[in-house]
Amino acid sequence: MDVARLNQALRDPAVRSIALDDGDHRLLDGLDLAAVRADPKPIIGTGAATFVHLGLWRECGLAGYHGDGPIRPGPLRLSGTTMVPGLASGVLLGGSLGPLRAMIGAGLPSLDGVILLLTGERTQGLGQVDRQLTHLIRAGAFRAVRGVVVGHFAGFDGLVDRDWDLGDVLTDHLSTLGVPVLTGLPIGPGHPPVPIGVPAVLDTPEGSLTVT
Amino acid sequence: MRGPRLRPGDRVRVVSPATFPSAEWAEQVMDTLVGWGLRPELGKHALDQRGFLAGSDEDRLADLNAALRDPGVRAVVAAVGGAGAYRIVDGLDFAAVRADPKPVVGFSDITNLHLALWTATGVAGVHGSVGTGGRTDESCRRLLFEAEPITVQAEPSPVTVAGRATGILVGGNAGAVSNFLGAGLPRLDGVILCLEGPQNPHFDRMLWGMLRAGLLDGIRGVAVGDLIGLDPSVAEPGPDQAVAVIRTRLGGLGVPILGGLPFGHVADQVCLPVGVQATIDTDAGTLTAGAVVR
Repeated sequence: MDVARLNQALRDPAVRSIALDDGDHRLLDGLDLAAVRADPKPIIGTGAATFVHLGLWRECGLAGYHGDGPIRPGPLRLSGTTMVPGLASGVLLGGSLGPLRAMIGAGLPSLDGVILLLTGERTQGLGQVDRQLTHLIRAGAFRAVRGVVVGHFAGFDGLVDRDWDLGDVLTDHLSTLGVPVLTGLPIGPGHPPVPIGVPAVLDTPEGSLTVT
Repeated sequence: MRGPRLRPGDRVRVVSPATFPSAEWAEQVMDTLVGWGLRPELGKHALDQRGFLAGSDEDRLADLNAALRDPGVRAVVAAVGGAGAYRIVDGLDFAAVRADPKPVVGFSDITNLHLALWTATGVAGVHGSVGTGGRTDESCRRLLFEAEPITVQAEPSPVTVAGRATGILVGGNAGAVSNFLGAGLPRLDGVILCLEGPQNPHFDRMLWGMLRAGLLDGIRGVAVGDLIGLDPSVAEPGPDQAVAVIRTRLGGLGVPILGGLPFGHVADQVCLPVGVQATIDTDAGTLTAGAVVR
């Protein structure tokens, strides 16, 4: 999808949600913000959808869905594995790591006070994930997040690079943030949509993320 | 800011700020430096291994800072690039570099060090490597030993935009430049931006970010090296796409672009000075740059 087609869908009053399953950073150039404000509707997707989710969250406060497929009604309770124990509540925000990093200095909204959602798609190796996380941390983007939930990183299964796998890279960065971290949640590419831009509770004794 | 030129008998330190080299490669780097009449020393942690990193961040940084602080060490050579130099850039001992400037030699991931050092101190460095022989070694040796300007000839390139520009030569690996967006790199006013290694599925996204952030508002020109190689990626655009990206994103900036320069992830690359005054001239097809050392 390109920005012209996305704007068309945003302006069409009969369209009540938009599944965004392809595209890239260029979707942020020329989005019809007035149409979003006049008639907000959720955008559903992973990967490039994160650009649009974060851009519209910043500009319009628009909530969306991270995932693929039909929206599930009602609150969600998802289980994961505890990396760092604790309890946190905040707005669930974030998405695909590559787009998050690519928006640094170029329109990334504040992540202060949020429960950060991280998922990913592999385009390069572990070094790329390491660069992305390092950049976000060095830029101060994670300074005031309240918790982190890690979903699915597509394409990393079975990848071992000089004794490290994806889990080692994630642990290396996320375990030192000083906030609770839950991993292995069924969120991300190929998983049903989870609302973002809405309140959520991360409870590691329960091993759960609750999204309302 | 330049360090003194190297002289035979000088000590130099070989370190691994990013990924670890094989013991054989480290030896080849050391042997090459011995061949130049220098006394190379291997950093204490240069062969350490932690995942793809040459040991912990603390140890890689300690090695690097020990070399920067030692007044007898007259150049610091990164054995290899890889990944991980970006993790330690904020801990570099910039005061030591200001007090006693010396060149750091490396490229690819080592561009992260060049950018951090240049931003904080303005020190000149060498974009390149030691140990592969040919004109790479010869151009590196010359940059370290001779306080003379150099001229590099470019091949005709479809990314070239005609003109002549003078500015400080800054950059190298495109991904490393983008690592500093919103994270420590000021606007590049007065800079000739070096870019190489853009065979990356995110090359357009990187330039998009740099432009959106205003990073390139004040640049004077662009010097483009290798458009072919970087690490193998899952989604690989070819060099044609890199050409299109450069033309689309940078072609309209109103500054000259000299493409076809022989630096980056190519065999027999020419080492370039970074952090020094340089001129690109597309009529002559040349990049002329000042000395790295004084």
